[in-house]
Amino acid sequence: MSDLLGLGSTGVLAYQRALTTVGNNIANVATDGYSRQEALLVSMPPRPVGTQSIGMGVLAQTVRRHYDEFVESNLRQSASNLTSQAPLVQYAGRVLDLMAGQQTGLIGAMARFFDSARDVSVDPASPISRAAFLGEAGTLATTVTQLRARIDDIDTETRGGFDNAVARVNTLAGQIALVNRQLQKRTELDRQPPELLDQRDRLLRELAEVVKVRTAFERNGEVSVSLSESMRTGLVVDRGQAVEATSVHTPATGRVELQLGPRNRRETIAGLTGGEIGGLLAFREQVLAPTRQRLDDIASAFVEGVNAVHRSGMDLLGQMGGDLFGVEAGRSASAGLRVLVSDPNRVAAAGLFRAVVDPDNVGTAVATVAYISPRPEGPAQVLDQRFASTGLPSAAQDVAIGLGQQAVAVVPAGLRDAAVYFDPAAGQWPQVITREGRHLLGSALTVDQQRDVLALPGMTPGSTYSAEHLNKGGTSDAYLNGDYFLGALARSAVVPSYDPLTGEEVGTVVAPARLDGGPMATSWPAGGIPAGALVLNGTALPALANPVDASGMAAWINAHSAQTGVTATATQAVRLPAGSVFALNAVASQVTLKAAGPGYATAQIVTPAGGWSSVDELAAAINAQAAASGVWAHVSSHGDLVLTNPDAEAVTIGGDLLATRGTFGASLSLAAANSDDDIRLGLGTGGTPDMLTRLGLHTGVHWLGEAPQDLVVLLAGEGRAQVSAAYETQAGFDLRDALRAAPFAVEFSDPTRYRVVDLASGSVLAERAYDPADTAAVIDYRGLQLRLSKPPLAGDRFTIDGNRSGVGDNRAMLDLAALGDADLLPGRLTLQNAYLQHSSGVGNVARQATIAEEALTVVYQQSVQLRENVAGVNLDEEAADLIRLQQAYQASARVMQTATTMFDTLLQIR
Amino acid sequence: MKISTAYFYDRATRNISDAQLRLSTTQAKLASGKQLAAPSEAPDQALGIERLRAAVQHQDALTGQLRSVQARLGAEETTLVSTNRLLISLKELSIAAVNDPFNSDNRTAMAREMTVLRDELLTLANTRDDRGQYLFAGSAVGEPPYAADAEGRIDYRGDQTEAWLRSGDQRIVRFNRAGNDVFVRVLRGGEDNPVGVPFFDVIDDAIAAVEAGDSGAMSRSMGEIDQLLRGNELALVQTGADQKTVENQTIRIEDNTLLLRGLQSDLEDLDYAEAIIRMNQEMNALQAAMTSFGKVSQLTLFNVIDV
Repeated sequence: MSDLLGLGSTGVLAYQRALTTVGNNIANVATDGYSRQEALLVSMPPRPVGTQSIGMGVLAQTVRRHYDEFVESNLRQSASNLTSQAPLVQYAGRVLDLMAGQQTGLIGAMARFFDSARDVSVDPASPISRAAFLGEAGTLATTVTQLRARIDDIDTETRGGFDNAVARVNTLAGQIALVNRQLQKRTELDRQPPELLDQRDRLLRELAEVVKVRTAFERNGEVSVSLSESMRTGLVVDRGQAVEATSVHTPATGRVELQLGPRNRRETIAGLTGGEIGGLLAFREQVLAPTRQRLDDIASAFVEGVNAVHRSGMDLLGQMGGDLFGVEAGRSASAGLRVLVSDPNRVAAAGLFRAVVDPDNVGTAVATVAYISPRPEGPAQVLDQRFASTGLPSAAQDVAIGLGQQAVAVVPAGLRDAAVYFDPAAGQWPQVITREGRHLLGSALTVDQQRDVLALPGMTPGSTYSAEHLNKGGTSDAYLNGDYFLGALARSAVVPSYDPLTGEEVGTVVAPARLDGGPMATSWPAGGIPAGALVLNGTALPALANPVDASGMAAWINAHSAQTGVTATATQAVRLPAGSVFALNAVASQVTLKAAGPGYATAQIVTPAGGWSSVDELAAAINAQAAASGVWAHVSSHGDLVLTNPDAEAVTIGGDLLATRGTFGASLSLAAANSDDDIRLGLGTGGTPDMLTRLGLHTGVHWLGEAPQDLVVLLAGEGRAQVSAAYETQAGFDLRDALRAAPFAVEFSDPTRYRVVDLASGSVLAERAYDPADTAAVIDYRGLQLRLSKPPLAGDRFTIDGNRSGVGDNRAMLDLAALGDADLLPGRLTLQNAYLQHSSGVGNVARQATIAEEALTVVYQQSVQLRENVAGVNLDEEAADLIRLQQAYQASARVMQTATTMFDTLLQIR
Repeated sequence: MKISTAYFYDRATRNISDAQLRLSTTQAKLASGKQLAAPSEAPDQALGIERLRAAVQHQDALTGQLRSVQARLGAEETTLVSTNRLLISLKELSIAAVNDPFNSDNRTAMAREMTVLRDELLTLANTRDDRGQYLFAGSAVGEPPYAADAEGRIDYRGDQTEAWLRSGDQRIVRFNRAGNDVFVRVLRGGEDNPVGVPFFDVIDDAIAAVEAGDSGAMSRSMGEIDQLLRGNELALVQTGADQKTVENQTIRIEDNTLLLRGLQSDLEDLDYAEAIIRMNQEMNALQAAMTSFGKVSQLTLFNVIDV
């Protein structure tokens, strides 16, 4: 009986418990992440009675949580995969909306820009179409920079999204760690409260939507979470500990990264996929970075292409065009694109050169001209670093000359006041000739020499020789009215002047020209200097029999000072630096000294027994014999021993006391009286350049003023030469501007010969043969290429000038308009096609992400359904359980009632 | 396999909201008349639309440019026609001078008449268009192409640089004129030693010949003026041909534009019939989803059992 009561009570208790569980399920039907719970009913252990067992009832042992780890992990995976597509779809779509949008995209703006260029080409002289063109240029620049700015905004947004996602990772990791710590209190999974496990799983699922995770579960339900492929690295939750995650952004490369770890030991996690983070990273890498790069590529190609065309055009004011577009310093090409020209008159639409046919030409040939930058061969330019720009002999380049003419250097067009110095030896003649064979300085060439010179590299093929302007520089017959000169030249100079008291610079003063020579030769070939061989400032000097005598030479020059304005002085001073004197106490050494000229004898100064105590003593000993030897000595402030002769005679030094030995000539100094005059000592009839060298004067070829074209400098003769150069730079010189400023005409004396004539001076620049039968014949002068549509007739004339009045010319603008269809980008892509190709690529990414999203949504829903099948609450199922358990409860209660009735019956037996 | 109550409701609401989204997208398209609400819906189609739009804009710009060229050619033609009339009068005068022996008074009168014609020709040679640019100066349109030098001779100061417009893939149209193509020079001196004599020199020589009564020179001038007239007529023919070319090009461009606009519309504009049918379909789907949800959600065991 008591058994029955007990049995009934176990039932009641058990079913009460079970009903509570069902009620819990029903209450939690809408709870997110809730796993259905079920009370597990087991039989109580039986009681053995004799040989049999009697059941003891039922026990609601545990509450079982309906859960499948495999299904759960599947759900997490598919959630990660699905959420990673959303950023791609969203942001790639936005990028595409910008790039293909009518207002924001570049296709319309670029097309309108090139169309407005064509509008200008139809009406180049009108300021209206030019202003509209600049307007469209500005609009295009703005559209490009705005598009780039919007894409940079997306960059900032996704970066912010990434930062937010990393923050969420931290929050969730912290919460998971907290749950883990709670779970640590028990050692068996079965004993863990189901609600806690539900919370753990819910947190894991949220984390999986942010980034794909890998999990490892302990026996008691604790979970460790890792962001990388293996559980060894990349742990963000290590059981009860959460590891801090930080987002790191590198502005230089634009990359964002996630790093795990405490402040001093951070590791970067690479290869993050899945979840929102994976989607954002994929977007930035596949769409954002390439799009910015492509926009920059397109913008730079556009700027370079347009500027190159614009710079080869002429604007309404007759000037060469400059850059039309520019990029702000420090910004990328698409972010900093700007229009640099604001004045419509400065838009370059016309060509820089034109060919004008003389209206009364007999022939009917039409002429066109184009400019191709020339790249001549030949000797190095004077600007080459081999030639120092000082003209000092010490900076000279040593050159070996063979037989014939040696091309040494080229003075390029635009160089100011260029001089090339040679100090020629006997038989050497410097020559200056233009590339077209116009001989300007030097000695007349024989026919064979002419042929050789014209064949040198750097000379224009087909050129002919002319000596019409040879050595005529500065005269009315000069080539291009230029001033060119062979010989020794000095000019007055503007020098700073100093206050004598304070030493400060107070201004400038003009110092008259001064030519200081080096030591003169001590021997001359027979005949000396013939009459008229040397010309000083236009005055031919008479013969000089004995040029070795320096003072005689000075007197010879001074005899003509009235006409030349130049006075000469001769000095003799042999300077022996302090170290060139032998040890002062070297015994038995001696020095012999003698000045040239009658009346002087060799003096011998012997070192005294104790040696020389000082250089002054030596000087004193020399002076003691000076009257006889003609050589005086003194010691300079630097301690140098200086030997002089007052008559400027040559001095011969012998003996073994001094390191220096030999015969030293005097030097000549020429000074101009007037501060306006030059000193020009040149060659007349019978003069040779080595005469000037023998006089100790620095001799070379000079072009005064700006060199109008390339001048080829040659040196005829044999032996070696020391070549150096002096010049002022050609900064600001532009070859095309120079050509435009010097118009010339091409004249056909007969159909097979033509001359190129400079219009300003009338000088013939070139004379060549022409083949009328060659249909592709081109007349090339310094890069200007003239083409005739028909063979010309005798007397035909074509003028080439800088097109200054040609404001109705549209050649440059036509070239600019044609850029729209030109392959400016690698892969033979026009600007528009490159842009379309890239936009199409972005579109593909967006499309693929959309398709993937649809497919993954299906997979995800299936996973959800599987989970719900295992762990979800169905109200109808619970209702059924409710009925079942309620009936069982009532039945058990009945059993108890029956037991009580039985007991009452038992009690009533008395 | 069971379905949890939560998932059941979740799926139902998802279906309804998807149907609603589709319906509202279609509604927006109907309102705007465009197939694409945003380029990201169909990227290649959107890019195609942009490309076509740019092509249409290009054709429109080309039409404008050709119109401008046509105006210029028209101005040239007008001037050349006037020049032609003047040259014909000059020719008649020169023929009269050769054929009829005049006395000196008549010759003076004739020379004066010829001078007047010459001055008018000079004015025509320096005609400007409506923008103030000289018509017969080549590309040097800012200055009068014909001016007198120190000795009173008229020279041509312009150039011959061609300005042209690309009006189609292979076609170009020249729209400026060099003065010496219209006011041509004449060759004098025979086969062996020809010399070029400019236009106004020819006329000046003719006037001098009439004044002097030099019949040999007058005969020569008569022939030369005839050459001037022929040169002018040739230029007139050239201008006419250019105008025809421009007209043909304009027509071709109009046809092309029509074609491109059609293609653009195909891609861009909404097909209303198809869209309305689709909208009805989506409305039905939405209605069905809602109704079925309403019915099925009523079914619960709790309503049936009596607890």
